[in-house]
Amino acid sequence: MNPPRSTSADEAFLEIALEEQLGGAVPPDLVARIRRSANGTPMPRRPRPAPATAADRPATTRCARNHRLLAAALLLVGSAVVAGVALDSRSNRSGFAAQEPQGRDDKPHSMAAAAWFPLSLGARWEYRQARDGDERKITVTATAAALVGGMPVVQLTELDGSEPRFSFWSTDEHGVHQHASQGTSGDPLFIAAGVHGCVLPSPLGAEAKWSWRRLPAIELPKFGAAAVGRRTPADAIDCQATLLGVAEALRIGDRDWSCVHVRIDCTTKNGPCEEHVWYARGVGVVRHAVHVEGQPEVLRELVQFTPAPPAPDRSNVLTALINAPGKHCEWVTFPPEDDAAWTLRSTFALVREGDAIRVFRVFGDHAVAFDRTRIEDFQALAADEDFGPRMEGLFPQRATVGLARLAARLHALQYEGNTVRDGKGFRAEIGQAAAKVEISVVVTDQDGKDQQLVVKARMTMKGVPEQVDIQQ
Amino acid sequence: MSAPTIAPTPSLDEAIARHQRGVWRFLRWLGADPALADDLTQDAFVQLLQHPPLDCSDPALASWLRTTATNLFRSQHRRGRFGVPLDDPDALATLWRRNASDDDGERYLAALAHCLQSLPPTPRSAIELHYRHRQRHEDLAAKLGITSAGVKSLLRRARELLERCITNRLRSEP
Repeated sequence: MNPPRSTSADEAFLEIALEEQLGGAVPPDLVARIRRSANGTPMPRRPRPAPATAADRPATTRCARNHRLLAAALLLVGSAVVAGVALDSRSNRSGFAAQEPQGRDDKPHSMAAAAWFPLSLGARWEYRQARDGDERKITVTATAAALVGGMPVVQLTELDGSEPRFSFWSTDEHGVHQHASQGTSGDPLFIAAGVHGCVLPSPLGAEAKWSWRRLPAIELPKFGAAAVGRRTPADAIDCQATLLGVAEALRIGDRDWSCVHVRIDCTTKNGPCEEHVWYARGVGVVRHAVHVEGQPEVLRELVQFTPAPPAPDRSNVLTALINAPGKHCEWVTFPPEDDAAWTLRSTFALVREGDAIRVFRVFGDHAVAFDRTRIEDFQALAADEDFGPRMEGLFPQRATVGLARLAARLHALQYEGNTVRDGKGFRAEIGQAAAKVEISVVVTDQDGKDQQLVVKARMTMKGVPEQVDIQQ
Repeated sequence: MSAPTIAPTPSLDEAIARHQRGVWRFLRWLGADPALADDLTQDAFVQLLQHPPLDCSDPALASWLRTTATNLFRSQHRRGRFGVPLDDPDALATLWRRNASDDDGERYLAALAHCLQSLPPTPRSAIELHYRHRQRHEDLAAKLGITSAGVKSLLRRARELLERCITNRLRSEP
């Protein structure tokens, strides 16, 4: 049957495409969520029951555990809040309409916290931060992600013109979680410190109060990260969070937001600290105020949010390049302890061609052949990854080690090596002009034979690789 | 290393990775808001796991998922977007294919990105302010120095220009 000539259906498609392209209504990555759901874990939109056993319970549900006795009462309070908000939003459509265009305000909204904190790779937030008359621009970007214990953890990089700061986040059906790393805030590598907090529990409104623990940030001294030691759970501080509103109208500049407003109280080494965070759906944090007793308030407000560009399927991107649908390939995965996992967004595929194995690199919507012996290929990689703005603090060392490990891994995989592990020997030299590293790795082939490799890498402080060599 | 991902019969993870964007966009097109689209996409894949179809080829799977998504959307008693024929599966499939082609709308989105750049300044800023900055018609009118009715008409014209540009661009591509 021929379809009716329906331009409205075409207009509807343009509408969703515009909302996706410009408005941040982008398809989420639901793989982990569906897998969990298929395994019987409750779906996020439903009120959260306690897990059956302690072993089943994800480590990140502290906020639910701490208030189990209050859960029923809070759920009632939360439900009343949500109901109140729904009624309020009907009587005050303009507030919601500013954030949810196309008249969607008459539909119920999922209260999954993850929707208030989008963590797609490439998403970028620009803030104006004011403190005691001093203003600066802050940029936060979702720069890398790796599977840690089966959970995708996303690295956020904060830049304010000086040393970058890194933090680690995840979202699941229980809410939005911050993961503490043992390293300093200037270290892009995530090393689990055993402290993670649910900063925003799901479903929003079901809990009026919750608590979580976090590690205070420590700065990187100029003489190296090791000198300040590692952060441990013993350093953690308790935070008490209170939900103050779930559809609070907030105007920033000429923009209206409908926000979830959370107050956080904790005690830092500088004194009692009161924070207020406003989250907007599909955008994330739009305002963040921090007030430590006796100190000026630090106020951060969103200037611009740029959603992550639509991420095409990497298999399709690769297939388009090699023009051989159905061809067998294998994707290289970096374990979370590998520097490459936290410094690279490119993914690498191995494709067998006759007796040889070719390597391809996929970044966003383009794929290129990658030869680990060609420095030009590493330079193209660095340009895509935009290393330049982050070449401060520990990043130069981590990124250079990441390239060295990448070269070793690809060498091993191309020559049928099974495993790559660290050998004895590691040297890093971070100078004014360049970062130089020398690492030793052991590659074990399929017959169990070990091969010792030394990989040397050098990258300028502008983020341009100059050397990535493997010596056997 | 992970399992092979270019293979004729996909695993569940591969099926999700390949089809989740298409199902999600399809649900948005039907009329679901982003949150509902998240939930129903999840439900559709759970149903796929529980009752897998016999034919798991890519086009058959995509079609099966869209049918399931439509049923799930209807079971929520939601009103579809204006002009989207929720009650006519054949027309729905044809109209979807006409816009999203066989790549879940990826080429359409790429064409849109290009066409946005080619819009004249005033319609472009109206589109930007409306969709990116989510400004109300009244604020937009004040900013552009026109009436609210003028904003509606400007946005309509901008969308028409975009549609025409996208259609031409998709036609001219191989």
